[in-house]
Amino acid sequence: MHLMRRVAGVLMLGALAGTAHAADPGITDREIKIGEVLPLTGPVSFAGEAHYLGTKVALAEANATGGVAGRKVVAVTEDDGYVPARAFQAAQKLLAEGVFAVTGTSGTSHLNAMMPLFIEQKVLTIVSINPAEQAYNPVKKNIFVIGTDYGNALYAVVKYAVEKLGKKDARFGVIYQDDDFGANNLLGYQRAVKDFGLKNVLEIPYKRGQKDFSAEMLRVQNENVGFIASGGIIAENVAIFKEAKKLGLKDLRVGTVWTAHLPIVQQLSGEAGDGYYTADYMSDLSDADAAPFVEVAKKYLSADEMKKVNRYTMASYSGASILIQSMRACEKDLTRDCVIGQLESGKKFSVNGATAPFGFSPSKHFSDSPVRVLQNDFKNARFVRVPE
Amino acid sequence: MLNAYIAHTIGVHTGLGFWGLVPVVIAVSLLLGLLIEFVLIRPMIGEPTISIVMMTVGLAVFIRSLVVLVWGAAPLEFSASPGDIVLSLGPVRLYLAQAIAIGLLLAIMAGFAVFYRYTRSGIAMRAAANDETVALLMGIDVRRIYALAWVLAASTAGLAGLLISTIYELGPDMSAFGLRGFPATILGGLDAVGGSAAGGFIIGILENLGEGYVGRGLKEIIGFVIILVVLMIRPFGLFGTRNVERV
Repeated sequence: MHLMRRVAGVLMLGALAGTAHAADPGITDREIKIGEVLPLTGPVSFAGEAHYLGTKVALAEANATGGVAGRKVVAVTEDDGYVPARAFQAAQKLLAEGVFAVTGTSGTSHLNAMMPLFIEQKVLTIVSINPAEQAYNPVKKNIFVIGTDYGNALYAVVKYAVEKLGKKDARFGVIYQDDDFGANNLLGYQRAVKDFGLKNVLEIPYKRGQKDFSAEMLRVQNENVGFIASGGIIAENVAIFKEAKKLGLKDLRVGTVWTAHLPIVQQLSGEAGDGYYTADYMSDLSDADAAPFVEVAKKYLSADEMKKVNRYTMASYSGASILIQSMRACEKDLTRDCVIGQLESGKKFSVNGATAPFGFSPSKHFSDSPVRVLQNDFKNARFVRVPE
Repeated sequence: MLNAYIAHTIGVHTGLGFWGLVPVVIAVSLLLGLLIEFVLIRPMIGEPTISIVMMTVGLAVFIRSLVVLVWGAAPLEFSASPGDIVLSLGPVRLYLAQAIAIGLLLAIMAGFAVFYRYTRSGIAMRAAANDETVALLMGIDVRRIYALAWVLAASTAGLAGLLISTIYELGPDMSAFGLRGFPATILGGLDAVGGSAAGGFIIGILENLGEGYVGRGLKEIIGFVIILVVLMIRPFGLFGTRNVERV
């Protein structure tokens, strides 16, 4: 009995000592490990690959200037193939390996699958690839979201159509994906319809991966829709533009969520996509504002990698960059709690012009970045910011 | 899909246009069909049908992954497209590529009808499909017929891949179109040359009418609903031959 008490005492002391010296996961004397779950393969691999490059640039930039508290910052990236179940498995793997923070969170459904794990294990998470409302509303202590909601993008293009294109009395419609991503789009569109008192005549859901939109666009034609809010990404938008051209819908205007940094949409849609509207909170690579970011990216990426740079690169650069800035401010007490405190301190983070400076507060973990509307100029292979 | 990707690469490097790529696709498909038959199918002759089916399902997954590995997962622009010209036939408006697809479909259908009815190989193929053992006893080289069937199927699939990538775009998810072809074939009848084509038209029209008037994803399921109904009422399809067994 006496021996057992001694053993229990030693174990308790050991446990207390462990607690006193325990660092958050992912930190060693030499490095700080952060994790990413990205769609490096699958239908949106363009976003995953671009996101990976943004983190690479931010970490290379940080490590070239001494890292954080003398430690090198490294990223562990897992591919989920854009499958929510694989995203969950990848998150489990990252957490088992031990990461200080997660800066890559794949798509909306994927984030929803992983989020309970991140909340339960109090993992500092910065969401920059898909600013879904579920991640910031209600506020989660350890989760921060950069960007604006997809719905805000559709809201902005509808608002532009009403205020600048004289479509106030037109008939409006929306085509949206039948998942969480589409639900966000639909909410933004419906909010715009309510705020501006618009005539909403069509709300058409579609299944992810759908190629043929002929029936949907025939409905658009039959309903004499003047402005369609498209919640597609690549193939869906291309198909919608091509069907509109085929049906001769010359007066129809189309607005999408952010696609300006996806040259493939412009290439695949050709003349059919000329003049469509899109909205984005990230800078355009050709913007003077984004010049500092482009300069840094060119420094750390190869010419081939630069070809893959798009808005998702700037988004992930922004996420990793604010994480590093906050970690540097916590060098003496490098814990998740301290970094969270820095992030929600209210100070504005600057990210080399990738997006406008932004900040968070304890009651708002969402940057709610301002959205700008752009128009496709197919002939010159660029997107032009419309007059505000 | 694989043929379409190969055609895309050849088109990019040689500058060949759509019509120049048609014979190239047929030739490449023919070789791939022969290769698959020789390496994978021939050793499976005599094995249970489910084994062969599972092997081809595995092959499809392998090809899709191979395409992603070599060409990437992002959609590609098919520069050898016949162009974005819109044709107006009364109230019907079609892209040139869609009109070409219909024209090629009619030509291929006519070719197959002649092949099955008037050529020795065509008649032998029908015999082997009907009863492999009897065909062997009648002196038909069933292995050669298998090879020929794979060559013809691969060439037709290759052309379909080329057309789909010019109408939509070239991407790994275009493999899903193959799955959508099943309801058309079941509806038309597995042994009816024009049946699959007619089945395709019927399902396409019903899908669009369903989506247009009812909506809410009916387009995605209507083909499979038709399969269920047809299998219950006319298991041999609308234009297929009823299988009568002597007892």
